[in-house]
Amino acid sequence: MSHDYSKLIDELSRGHRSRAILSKILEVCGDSVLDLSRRNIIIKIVIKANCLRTALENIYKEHDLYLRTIAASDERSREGLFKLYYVFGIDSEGTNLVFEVPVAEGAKVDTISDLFRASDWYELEAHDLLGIEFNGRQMSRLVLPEDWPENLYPLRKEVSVEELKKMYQPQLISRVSELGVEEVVRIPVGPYHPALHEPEYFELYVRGEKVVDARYVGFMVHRGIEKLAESMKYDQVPFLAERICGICGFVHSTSYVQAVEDALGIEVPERAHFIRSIVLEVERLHSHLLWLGVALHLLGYDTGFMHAWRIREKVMVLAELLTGSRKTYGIDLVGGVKKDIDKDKIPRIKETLNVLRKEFKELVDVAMSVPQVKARLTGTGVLPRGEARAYSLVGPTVRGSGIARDVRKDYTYAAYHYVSFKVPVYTEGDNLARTLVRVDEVFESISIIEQLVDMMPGGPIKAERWEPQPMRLGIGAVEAPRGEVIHVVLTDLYGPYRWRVRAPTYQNLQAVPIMLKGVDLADAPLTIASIDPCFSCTDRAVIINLRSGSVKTLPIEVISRRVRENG
Amino acid sequence: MEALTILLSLLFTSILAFLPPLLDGIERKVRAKIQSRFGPPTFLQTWYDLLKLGVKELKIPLSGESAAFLVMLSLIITLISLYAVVYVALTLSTSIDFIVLAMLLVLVAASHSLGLVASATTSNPFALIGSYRSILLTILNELGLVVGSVLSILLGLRLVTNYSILTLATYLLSLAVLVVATYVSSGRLPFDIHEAEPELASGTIIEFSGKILGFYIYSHLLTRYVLSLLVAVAISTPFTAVFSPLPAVFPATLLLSACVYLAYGVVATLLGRTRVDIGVRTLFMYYLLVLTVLVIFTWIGI
Amino acid sequence: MRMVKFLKMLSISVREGTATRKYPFESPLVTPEFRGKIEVDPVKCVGCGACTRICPPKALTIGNEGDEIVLKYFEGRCIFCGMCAYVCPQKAITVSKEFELATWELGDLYDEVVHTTVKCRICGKPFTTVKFVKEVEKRIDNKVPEDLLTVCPECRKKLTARKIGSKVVGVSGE
Repeated sequence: MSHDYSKLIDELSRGHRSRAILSKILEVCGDSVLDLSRRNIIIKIVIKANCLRTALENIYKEHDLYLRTIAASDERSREGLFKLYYVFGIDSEGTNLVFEVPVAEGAKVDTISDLFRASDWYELEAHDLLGIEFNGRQMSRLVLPEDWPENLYPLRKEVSVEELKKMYQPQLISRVSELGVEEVVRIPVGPYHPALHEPEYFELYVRGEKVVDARYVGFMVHRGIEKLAESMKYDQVPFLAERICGICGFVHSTSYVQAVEDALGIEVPERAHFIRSIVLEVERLHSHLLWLGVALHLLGYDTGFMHAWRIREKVMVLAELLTGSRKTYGIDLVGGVKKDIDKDKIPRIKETLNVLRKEFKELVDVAMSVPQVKARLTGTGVLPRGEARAYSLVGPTVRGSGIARDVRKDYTYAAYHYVSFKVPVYTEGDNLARTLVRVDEVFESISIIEQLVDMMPGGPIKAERWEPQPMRLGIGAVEAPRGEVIHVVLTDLYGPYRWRVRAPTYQNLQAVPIMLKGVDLADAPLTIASIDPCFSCTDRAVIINLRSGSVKTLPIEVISRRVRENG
Repeated sequence: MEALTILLSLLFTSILAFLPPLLDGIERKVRAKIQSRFGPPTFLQTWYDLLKLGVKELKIPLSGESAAFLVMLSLIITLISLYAVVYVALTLSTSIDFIVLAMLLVLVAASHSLGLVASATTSNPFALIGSYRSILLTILNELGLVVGSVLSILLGLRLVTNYSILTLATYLLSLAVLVVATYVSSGRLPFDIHEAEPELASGTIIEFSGKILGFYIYSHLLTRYVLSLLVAVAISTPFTAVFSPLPAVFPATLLLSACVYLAYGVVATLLGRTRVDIGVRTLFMYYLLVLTVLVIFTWIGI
Repeated sequence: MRMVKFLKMLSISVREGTATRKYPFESPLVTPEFRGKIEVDPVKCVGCGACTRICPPKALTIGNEGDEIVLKYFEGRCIFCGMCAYVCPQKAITVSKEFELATWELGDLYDEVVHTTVKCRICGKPFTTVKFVKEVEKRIDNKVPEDLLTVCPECRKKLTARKIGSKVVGVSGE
């Protein structure tokens, strides 16, 4: 029996780490493993729900194994089952370990939130959106609002997008008639971020000026983007994906197209890979400059903030020159890109990068010499290495705590394997470490773009044609400025059947309360901002006129004008 | 003579009372230049802002009737302290009137403490955090303000009558205490911690609006100017014995006060914001060091 | 020297001058590659509707209005991605650099291209545009008999079914 396994394991494993993990899983769950297969860097283990926890209990201590994402999907129309896809990464090998877990309707899955603490939110979200039940843990609402009806799970296939769009407005009308007035203006007031002015809410428990505990409440503006995408075509989704984030949109569209390309085995031309990498790095430059500006602003050093953004403006203009837009570049398509980088733009790119390198170095030197900046960054918001590992954190947050996790190196994609670059790592785990990681990364990005531009091959920028096939699983991961973005796509004939998005903040935010414990109240905004959080910001006010029964959504400014006119 | 001085002081006070918002307008423009921005369209912008706030409706914050009253009281006392500084500047000579100097310090301290009391009476817990921060800082800083201003004016006058290198050094040291103390009192970066994080915790500004906010800001700017004028007076003291005070030194003092005001503004632009514990610690160490040296100098020399 | 290094910011700002622009009074910073609102050339457009099928935010729509087929462009929804221009087989859509689209009138945000329709030879319903039929004729070198081109898809299905029926069973369609 074990003889059979060892041959299979040899065939599938990509290194000694995955070999050890696979043999351990087969040892403890031999009979419950339904299927084992490998495609490129993805090792897929189909395992019965009742043995998943046992398997993970035996491997969770393995070094550099971390939870990347969990995707839940409603496949009742095909196999009469729900499915959970647990994606784990093995950093040192660049292997994705996918556990596919079939779950019958009404069955319960054992929680793994005590083994992999990052899975806490994923499990709650799977329960909110698809109604999957978990054993051995507290369940509560995470993504959906408090007054969402029980037993309506929006990501189930029988629930249509149109139905969901109608969901909220009738409740508002009934509320208005309860109040017995004709016209009501509902204006959502805050919870917003102390720095980035986005919808999130922290509760800080303070003794004197010291924060002793913190709690986070989020998902104020869950937009149902994943559901919406199920009604869209393959080439429309990149534009939706890009709008997940207003700062690093391109990483999402690239992640999505890579997931589809991975699932369908589409050969992307080299030149397209180069263009994507260049644009991704340009995006990182602008994002890090933006972050540095905001961080300096939080430290009261507004002059540094202004100059960081002055330098950033040059990157924005460069981005517009390369893609046609300052932000939401809109050039990613499945199989390649839409817009080429012409030869005559290359001198301009290099010129901008040279100016950028010089001015950024100057700015960082000056800003770090400001006494208050140095004093308040050093030793505040400490995140120990062990916690960073336990929470499966990603990006500059984890690299500031001494773990060299970087998708560009570990699970290389696009054209990153052609260039040489360092992954900056600092071990202190404080706000200064996270700042310095980003500062170093700016210089690395400049060097990466220079190398890519010099090496750019000719040829087409988009695959000629490709055939969609149903129910293929693909994973696309990109190192965003804030950390790893990972998308899981299950394909269908015209568009994605299920599209699971995991932004880096989803992972990193869970560790913020740890960082906040013991900081001074004045440093709390900076500490929260030090993970470079990224939320959505689409809150709007709703006006209801009971007489006509009409519901209008208006930006707040318009209402204030109306109120003034009326008054 | 006496009647003329009082009349002149009143005249200059009423003219100078209009100056601080203008200086603030210039400071904003300078700050914008340092930050590579255009900034406000004109130097008069702060005046326009204040006038705009002045025509807004009167809104008293919750349980803040006393706060509104205290703001007005602090404004009046600041105006009187401006009068006192102008009076001191006009009458500076080797025979200084100590009563006036003492009165001046009492007035400045009073306007500060009234500001503090005003911010501490609000019912907003967030505003209270900022208020307690500034109380902590002010208590420490008032020490430097008193020691710095008294010593620098006294030593400046003494410098003329019996010059020695030790006296000069002591004078310069006490001037350094005064400069730092007035800078901290002016509530500029890095010491604006009481209004630091508007969304987390902040001072009184967050509680006031409309007319009251206008008066509060005006009173705040006026305090800043009184402090700059105090520094200018301390700097020009040694010259009063050499030149005739009224025609030569007084205009120079006024010019100097504007320069001090703007120089403080420039320094604030180049620094970040301190944290209350770091700020208090740094300030305490500074005063301890300089005052020790001052005591030693006085002991051996003067 | 290290202590007062922060003063260097002064020399940086002197060197850089003013970076911001008095935008409405000075020209905006727009590179030649900028994607603004789209323009549909009513002469080149044949009303095939390819752009409406790819448009991610559904800013472009096509539909029958009486005897006409109207292609509607609503700037308010447009995300300026340029996919319509990318897929347009007639190259009728160009991406302009215009971005100052604020207006007081909602109507200003709509653009329309009106097409005359071809009525189905059999049922008489308008089903496609005149220009589209001509374009198809041109592209396929008149290989399809003219009478089939002017039949709407539904009637064509019935027609084909009847033809097959007549061949197999020998029943005349008439």
